[in-house]
Amino acid sequence: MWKKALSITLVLVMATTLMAGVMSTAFAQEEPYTVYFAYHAPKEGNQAALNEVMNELTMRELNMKVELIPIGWDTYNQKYPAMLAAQQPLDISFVFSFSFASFLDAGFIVDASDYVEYTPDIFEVLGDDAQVGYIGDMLVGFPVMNTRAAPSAIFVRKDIFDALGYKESDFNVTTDDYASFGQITEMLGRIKEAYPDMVPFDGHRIFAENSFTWVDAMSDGFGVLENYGQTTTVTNWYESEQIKQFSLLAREWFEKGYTSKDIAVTQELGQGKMKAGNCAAFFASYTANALTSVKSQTGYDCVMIPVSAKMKSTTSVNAVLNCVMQQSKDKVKAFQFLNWCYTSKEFNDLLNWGVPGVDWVVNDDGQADYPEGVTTQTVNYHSDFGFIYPNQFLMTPWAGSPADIWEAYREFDEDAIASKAFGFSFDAVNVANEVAQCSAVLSKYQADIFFGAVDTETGLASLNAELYDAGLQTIMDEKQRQLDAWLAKQ
Amino acid sequence: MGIGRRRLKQYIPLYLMMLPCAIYLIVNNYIPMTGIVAAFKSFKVTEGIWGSPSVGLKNFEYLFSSRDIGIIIRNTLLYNVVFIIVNNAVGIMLAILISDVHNKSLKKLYQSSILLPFTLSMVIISYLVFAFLSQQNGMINNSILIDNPVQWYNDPTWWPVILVFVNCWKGVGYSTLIYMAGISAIDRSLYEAAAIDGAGKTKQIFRITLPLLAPSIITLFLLSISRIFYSDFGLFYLIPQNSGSLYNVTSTIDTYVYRSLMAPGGIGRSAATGLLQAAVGFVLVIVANGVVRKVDASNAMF
Repeated sequence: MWKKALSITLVLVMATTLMAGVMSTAFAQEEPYTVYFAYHAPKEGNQAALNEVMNELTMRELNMKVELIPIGWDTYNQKYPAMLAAQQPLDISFVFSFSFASFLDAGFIVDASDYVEYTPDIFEVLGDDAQVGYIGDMLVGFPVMNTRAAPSAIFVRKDIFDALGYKESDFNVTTDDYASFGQITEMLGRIKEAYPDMVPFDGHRIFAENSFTWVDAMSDGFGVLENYGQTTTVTNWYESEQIKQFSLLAREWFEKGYTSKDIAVTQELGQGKMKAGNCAAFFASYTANALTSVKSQTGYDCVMIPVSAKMKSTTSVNAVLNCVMQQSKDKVKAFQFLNWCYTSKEFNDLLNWGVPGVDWVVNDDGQADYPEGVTTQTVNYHSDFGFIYPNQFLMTPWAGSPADIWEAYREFDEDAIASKAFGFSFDAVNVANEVAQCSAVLSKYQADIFFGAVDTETGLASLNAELYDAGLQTIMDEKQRQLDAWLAKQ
Repeated sequence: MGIGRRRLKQYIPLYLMMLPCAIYLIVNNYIPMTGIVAAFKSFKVTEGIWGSPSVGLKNFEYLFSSRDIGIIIRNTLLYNVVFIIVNNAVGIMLAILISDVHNKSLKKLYQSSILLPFTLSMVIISYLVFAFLSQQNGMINNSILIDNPVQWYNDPTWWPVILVFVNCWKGVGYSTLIYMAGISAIDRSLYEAAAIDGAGKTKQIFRITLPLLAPSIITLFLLSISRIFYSDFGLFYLIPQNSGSLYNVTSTIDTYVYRSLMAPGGIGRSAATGLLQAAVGFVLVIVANGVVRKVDASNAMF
């Protein structure tokens, strides 16, 4: 496999150097700079018409042209590092936090701290949140403007919930008292009794899988700040009482048959399982307006039972950063363009909803909607990935959203607890090997233990033993050292 | 000299016919080999593949620093040895059986149905296997083992058998086909003469079929031994649904590389692993071919 990948890479390298050579001579005569802009999208190859409209906008406002490069999830995971190594023309790209270490190691990303004079508006829009873009002294990129906290909840089909006579006020689940999680166990038991053909709980997330909800995971989860980041001592979360309680709970559900027996094996989303009609409840993290999106994903009205407090940590804010990439021919222009991306309502609308009048129109309520005769099935361009574009709060909301949706989003974050290490990013470069080995150990155990498919006590014991063997203590010490240095500077 | 030139002239059409393939091989298989240098580099895109800092054997060290490296190498080698033996043995058996079927259309039917799984993708096969082994709705746990269900994807006990079975079911059609071709080339009069001399079926198989099949067997054996340090990624990653409990019996070099590719330095490390796989395969082929030549020079590949 590597051989094929490598040969493709090499061919690409040769082809693109040739192309780049040809192109750069072409650009020399043509004044407006073309910005190659990679963004995350559910679909690739439908952006040609939009690109034209976008060009008019950028020529008018910036005297630059833009080349849109939509990148899907599979492409990002399977081909993106090879595309970057092949020096495909690129100025700006989104980068997920799990790629930081490898992208920085390979030198793909430009240090934005050398160009801050060109990005004043980004700092204005993001405020303090811009700090999460720093890893060590390097400003890797800028987070998107969106909700910051990532609390989790259990979503239950409303028809079943009502039929069993439950009310939302019956539930008060909190990590201050693990016994309160028994309320959910009891409900799943009643669902199983009343609907013997259904799987009460299914999906690919569960309590312990969403570390970012409960602790400041400090990027990789190996060494965390427990209790929603309200401490400055780095500890091993996998040894904590919390993990044990969550795993025991999952084990109880698994053994009683409240979860699918395959839950640790299959990787399908709970939303998809519910849509298929056989699953009554699933676990997920949520933001404001969650029930509207769950309805569109599952086709069912749901009830949401929050199971955590709301916390914002560096890891939840810098999950994705917009970065300028090293192959950019004109980095100043690239940063100027990126700066504009955070302030232009039109740009964010176009990127999310497509060509005005063709893919969307503004309806009488001032919200975006499909034009006459266009539907979900027939529309050419409809990303609806606002949460991952530069500034969601500028966008025209989609029809059916509450009138004050962005206000609600802002309020959603207001009562969030900030981790004590908010703004600190761990630089893993010194312990990259240990992190890689620990990730390998975790992937071996996590699904089985966290979904309760194996005995909790023995599972956690071997997980921790192997983690320490793989160098967990080294990572934790390095984290504590960097955190202490960071705290001393605050 | 004169003879050499005349010979060359005689073979020009053959060389011309070879040319497209040779170009293909050079472009696709030889030029990318320069990428081997990546195995000794800490790849930095800003420096390029030649300018990146050299790190000596550090990329190889990473491979051997894993605590599981013993298990990974053991799995890769042992599974491949078992696969070679089982697939060839079953392949020869099936080839002999099918060759003796006299009904033409039935013969074609058997042959095609054995070959069918070979054309399926591992993704599809992984779901076929899941339909049998699923703990919630699987056929086995809901019929044969209904009173005593097995947590298949959490219990490594049976996986060596399952993987060997699946690999054989998928791959045996290919070797069967080659052995059938070999058998059909055997002169039927040999069997007639043997039958007249009173040799039974078993004797005919051991005295005529197998000895005359030896060249095909050896060729296939040498081909498969060169890949002994490789593993079918789909078989070891997709069929067990990447279940963590099974890693001890399903981790091979290829799944290991895949899992660590996303980590920093992945390009250098995967290049190093690939180089190691190729080098071990090369040495094994040379050694195996040498052994074959010692025993019977006419059966050696080169």
